[in-house]
Amino acid sequence: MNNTDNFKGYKEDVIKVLKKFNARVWSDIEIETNKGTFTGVVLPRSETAPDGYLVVKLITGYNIGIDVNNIINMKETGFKEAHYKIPESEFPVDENKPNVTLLGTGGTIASRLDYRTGAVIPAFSPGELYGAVPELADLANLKTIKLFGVFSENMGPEQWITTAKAIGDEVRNGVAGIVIGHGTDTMHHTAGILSFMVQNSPVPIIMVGSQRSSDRPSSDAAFNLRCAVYSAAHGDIAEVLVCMFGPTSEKYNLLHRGTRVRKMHSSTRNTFRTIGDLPVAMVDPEKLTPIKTDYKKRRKDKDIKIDTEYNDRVAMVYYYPDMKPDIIDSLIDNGYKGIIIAGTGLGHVNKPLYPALKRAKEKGISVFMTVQTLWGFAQMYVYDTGRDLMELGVVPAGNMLPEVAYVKLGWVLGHTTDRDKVVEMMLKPVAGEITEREPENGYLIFQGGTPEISEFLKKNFR
Amino acid sequence: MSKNIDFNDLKFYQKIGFMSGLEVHQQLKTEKKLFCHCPIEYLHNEPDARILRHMRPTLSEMGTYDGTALMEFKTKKNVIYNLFTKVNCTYEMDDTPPFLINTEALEIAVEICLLFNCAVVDEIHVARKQYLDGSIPTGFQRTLIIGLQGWMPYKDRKIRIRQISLEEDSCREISDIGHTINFKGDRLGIPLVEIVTEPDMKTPIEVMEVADLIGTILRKSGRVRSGIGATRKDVNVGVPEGTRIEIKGVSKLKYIPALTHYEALRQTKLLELKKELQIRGINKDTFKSMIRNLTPAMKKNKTNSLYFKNALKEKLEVKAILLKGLGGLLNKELQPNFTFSDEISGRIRVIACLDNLPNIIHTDMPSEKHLVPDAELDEIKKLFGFETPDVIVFTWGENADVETALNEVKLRIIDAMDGVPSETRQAFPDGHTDFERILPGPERMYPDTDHPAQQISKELLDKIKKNIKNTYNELHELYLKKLKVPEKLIKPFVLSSREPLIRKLLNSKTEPSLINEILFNTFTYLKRCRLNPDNIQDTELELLFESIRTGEINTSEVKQILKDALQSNIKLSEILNKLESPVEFKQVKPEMDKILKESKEKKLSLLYKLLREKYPDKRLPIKEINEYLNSKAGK
Repeated sequence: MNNTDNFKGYKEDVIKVLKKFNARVWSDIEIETNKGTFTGVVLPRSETAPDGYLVVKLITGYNIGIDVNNIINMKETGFKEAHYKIPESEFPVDENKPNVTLLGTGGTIASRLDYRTGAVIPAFSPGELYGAVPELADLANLKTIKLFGVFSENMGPEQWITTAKAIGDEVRNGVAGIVIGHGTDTMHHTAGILSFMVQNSPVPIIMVGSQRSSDRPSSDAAFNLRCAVYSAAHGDIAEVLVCMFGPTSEKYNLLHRGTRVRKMHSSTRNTFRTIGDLPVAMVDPEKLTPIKTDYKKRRKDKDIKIDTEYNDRVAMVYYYPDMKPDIIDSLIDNGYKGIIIAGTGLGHVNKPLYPALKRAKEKGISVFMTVQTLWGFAQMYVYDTGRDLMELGVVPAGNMLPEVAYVKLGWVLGHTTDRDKVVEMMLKPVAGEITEREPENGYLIFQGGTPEISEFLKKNFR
Repeated sequence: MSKNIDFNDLKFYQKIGFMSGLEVHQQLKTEKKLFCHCPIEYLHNEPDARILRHMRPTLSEMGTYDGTALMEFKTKKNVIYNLFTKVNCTYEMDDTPPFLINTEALEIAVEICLLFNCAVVDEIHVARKQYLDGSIPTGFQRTLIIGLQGWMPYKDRKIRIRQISLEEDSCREISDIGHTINFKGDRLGIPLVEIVTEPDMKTPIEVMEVADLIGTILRKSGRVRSGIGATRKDVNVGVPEGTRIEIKGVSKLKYIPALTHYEALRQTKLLELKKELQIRGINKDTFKSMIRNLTPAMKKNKTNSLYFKNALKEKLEVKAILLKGLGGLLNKELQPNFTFSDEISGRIRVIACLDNLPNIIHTDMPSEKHLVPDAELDEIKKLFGFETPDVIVFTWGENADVETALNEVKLRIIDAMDGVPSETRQAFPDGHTDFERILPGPERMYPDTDHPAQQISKELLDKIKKNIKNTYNELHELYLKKLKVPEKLIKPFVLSSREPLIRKLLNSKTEPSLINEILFNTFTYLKRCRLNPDNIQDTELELLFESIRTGEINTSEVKQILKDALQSNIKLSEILNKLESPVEFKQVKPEMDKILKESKEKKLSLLYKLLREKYPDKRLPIKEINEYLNSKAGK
């Protein structure tokens, strides 16, 4: 065993003391200090924690940090390296069950603790998943492919393209459905781009994650996975969908269309909401109940189209009052080919930006307007400002969500940089990213504290 | 059931090897909760919202599943949390990560560690302690060790404190019926300390006294909550070759002696059972059992047994297990009126969610208890190939629950071969206990990744140390040794909100019994008269004691004076100051003789009352009066 493994996460001061007493990480140890004598196991330390403290797991299971200056003597009485592992057993195969492929990208859908960083790190295989969520075997035969292990903030075009291609391969192999495990932070970006890169899929493509990591008893991971696998194996909706908790209660999940979904809370389980439309369906591990009827149905063929052309010279600008034109200018000067603006209200920015926007148009840069209100349409013909901006070449992108417009523009620019063609492609819906209408129940943010909502919450599970 | 038992019989408890320790949970008096910023209040109105969750076991950092965790997962409960807008936020819903630890709570916990002479840890690490019963929405309790290896004085020795940890409180259970358990969220997240002693108590009475003493030390600190549920005690009991059993939720101190006694008894009985199994040659390898589904046959042949008939009516399954060679053993009494069969039934109630009792019947029961007609019983015995001394255990319910139940019967028998299975048991006021859950081990602990480790600086420790004054132990020592207060008065004196006054009075040589008479007995009397003596200022009371000392008033007058003062709303000092000009004894003597002659009752207080009526604002010659009375009594 090499040296760093012996002192996982520890720095100079503690390593010196450990070496002095011939102790190491995972030692069974008896430590004499000026506060008393303690027995336990030496644990690794989080790398970001300060030096000078030795972490010991006492026999009671509690951890404490001991100031090494207080240590008088240490005695290693044993050594046993811990292996944090989900009990693995072979995932059972049943010929009568549909085959589902789970593509892993990372995130907390399947995870374990890492002691070097004190963090939750992703880990999964069919065996591990079966060990942790044996109910999956009742739903489908599961194959897993680990594409990469990144936190979702590190997802980008390279990962999107790899994922899209993997989907194509698996569908052509004849799977009944695809499940993609993904960190939740940027799940809606990936759902958006996959909706464009993967077209005409004959089978469901279900994205799933978890808001409470699977290392905890209250995790939503198992239920999310079961719902996702059910949707992929038995569902009839052959689209890119996000499958996450409907209410915060563990009652049912919602299937959100990949181009209309957004993470709306930094931590709740029911953070994903369909914006400006209705979710496509409700699902639990036993049944799927459609809410919308206009979805693409499952087919028997394998005629999937994978189109991964992408140009990453796109940017998104979140407008704020008193924004200076140099923000836009710097994008122009840095060779960006497309800009998505998240404007105020119906799609507005201030006058000082006009010259910069004019310059962008002259340089052939495609500029689209979305709304930072998220709900509602960019309707730039209503006010003078909007009309002025359209005059300057800013194109309203309907009710396309800012993040979706951002990934779509990258995808469109991967196909053409001809401004007229770009506008044509951007405004022609591929996967429901622009809708003609917002149904009357497409915007529902109820306000707590009002009598009718208080009444509703008393009667129903949240 | 605990009549005629001497719970302090040291010889007896030494003989059976009685060992007992305590875990005292005490809520801290903080403004906000431990890991979020919710205010603290118990609510009794309808909840504002409800959420539904399920719990799954996870791995500990050492890579093993915890036994309790797995058991609780078997029960597959719907866990419902009833929440209140006023005191619950998205943290308690487990929908928001914890905020940094409440420093007020941390400082109180450190203070308590110092009161119990613990080594305060250099760096605290938040741990997650798994609870799959649903009592905490995260599925674990966030807990951190603050102090280790402390002690407290008791009698002439030290009781060792193993550890003191700071934890968030769990939810209050509202109901637990079948597969649905309901919790209330108001208590959730309140900071509490858990004080764990070593098993240093030698008799059940000692356990009670130490529990009382811990509570007293905490109360004296003034940093803890009081009221129902603010202090909760678990008692650990073991005997040699038995095991550590945790008795949960002991609500009153006075229940402790019987509970600990009968738990020790239960363990000795289970050890006898173990021996009996050995004698019968039943061990893990030879033990045989057989499960049969009786439902189809009973449907076909129309059962005449009440329990089975009702079960079939409700479309439930009836199944049974034959336990080879175990005849008679299920009737073994473990505690008064509590048999091994009852013990198994308790475990099934919890694990298989079969909570309508009886949930099992067996062939060793008298027929008026199992209510299976003889002919039917014979049929079933034949079906199983029953031979004496076998026993058949029946249960009924939903199929999955019945399967779990029969498996638990088997597991409990296997456990019996080892003696006493580790479990936590629920306390009942009569001293008996019932299965609550399998005792969780250290495997259920794992680090909380949501919190960085936090160093406890020397500066903070010194600051807290400096602020600790007048601890119970210090004052106890002072009252006992220096102020010579009788032991039984020390606790009420030291805990009294008027402790500074009491100490002042004792220092000026006031008799402890007089202080007790006025500040406790008389005050209780006044409160019973719906008066509020707590409103009287210490300085006023000091004057009262001074007047007694100088002989301005007689002790027997105090009750009336205080009553007058409180009723008329006149300050005590005004009444006492009025008694300026003394009345001479020769003036009083004829009056006294008259009163003594007229009144058959020779009560001193009555005499003073009548004299006071005559001389409402004079100082009475108390000394001479007393001497005169004594001389009269001497005749």
